[in-house]
Amino acid sequence: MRAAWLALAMMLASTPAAAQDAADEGPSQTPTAGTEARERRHGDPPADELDESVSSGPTLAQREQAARRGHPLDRPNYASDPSDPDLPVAVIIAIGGGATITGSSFDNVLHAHDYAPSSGVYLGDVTVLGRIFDWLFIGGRFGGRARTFVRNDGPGGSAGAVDLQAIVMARFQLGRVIDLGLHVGGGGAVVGVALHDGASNGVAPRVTAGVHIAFRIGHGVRLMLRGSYDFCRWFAMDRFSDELELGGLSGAVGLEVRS
Amino acid sequence: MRRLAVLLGVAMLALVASCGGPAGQALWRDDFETVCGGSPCGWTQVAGPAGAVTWVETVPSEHGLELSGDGVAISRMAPGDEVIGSDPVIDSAGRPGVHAHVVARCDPGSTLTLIVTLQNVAGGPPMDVSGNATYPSSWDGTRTTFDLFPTDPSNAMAQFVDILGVVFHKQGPGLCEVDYVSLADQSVRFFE
Repeated sequence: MRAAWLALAMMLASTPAAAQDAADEGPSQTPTAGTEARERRHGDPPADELDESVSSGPTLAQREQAARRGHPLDRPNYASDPSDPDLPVAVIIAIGGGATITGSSFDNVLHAHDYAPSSGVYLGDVTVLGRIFDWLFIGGRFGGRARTFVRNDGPGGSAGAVDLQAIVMARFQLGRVIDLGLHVGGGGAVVGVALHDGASNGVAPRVTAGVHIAFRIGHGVRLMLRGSYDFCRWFAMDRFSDELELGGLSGAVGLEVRS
Repeated sequence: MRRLAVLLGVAMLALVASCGGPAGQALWRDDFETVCGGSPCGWTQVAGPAGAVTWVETVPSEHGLELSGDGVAISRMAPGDEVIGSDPVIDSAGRPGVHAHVVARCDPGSTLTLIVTLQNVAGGPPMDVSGNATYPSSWDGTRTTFDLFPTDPSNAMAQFVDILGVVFHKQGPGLCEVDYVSLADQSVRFFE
């Protein structure tokens, strides 16, 4: 008797009406064996979508970051700037100072005229460079440098140079933050000396060479420390063929911005 | 306690400042940087052929006198415009009462004598003191200072109250350039 009732129930479940009832109840959460996913067809009911006001919560990356917070491994991201290759122009503004390392005959002239020529040199420059390779930049530098002379009895004087140089810079990334670089350059300068109201001017050759270290402090922004030797000597500056030294060793701090 | 330390510091500074007395100043000086009609203002050629004294740029941006030839002299009368006070021509230690700092160079064989006319405190005729030095032939860094002695030994005990005139007298061939001159009494020591 029990077997007869079971056979009847199976016959009823296989009728078209029963199939329609199952479709009205929606897709089954647990497909039965033998049921396969099929492509959606025209006329199928729309798939379920969440309303835009419904939040799914933090992203996986956010959840991972929150889980690391306070952990010893939770450090800033020092990964190299991936956009650097897309920033082919570097502009560097630097100021600094140094000292002449060789005397010049005009120092004696100044001493004879009761001046106290300081060997200190003050400088500032703007460098614009274009990237040729990942490690090589070529460009130009516009800068100025000056010396001052204190007079024991009266107003002092000064000498200065405004120069334009072609610059080649090689830059090597040592880590995620630090760059080491070398630079050489050459060009010319308009130099002058002013001891009283007037000034005398001339031209002088310019050569520079040095090393620098840069620290990436932001996207495309670096803080740079530079040490250089500069040749800037005004030859035959007067009728006695005196020479004035405006070069020497110098250090500078600069801000490099790439764009 | 801290306030007391500050007060003591101020008192010490005041004491130190009061011990030095007023800083000595040069009695007179000229840098030849102003020109009047082709010659440095106030200066007149008093000896030598015309054109033997010119105003030149000694070094870039510095000017002075160029005296060319033998026996050329240039003077500036009454350079002092205020009473100096009574200074001895020879002080109690036997040192000359006036000394000079002259920025000059001379070709080899040329000499330059500085003569200064002083007003005697006792009145009477002016008295002269003079001196010279060996100047370098180029601006080699030498700073030249020298003392001025009375030309008349009888004025050694006198005192002066003003500088009335200054004369540069050149002897010998070639030329001399004078860029700066400063006169001082014994209260001022150049380059010390």
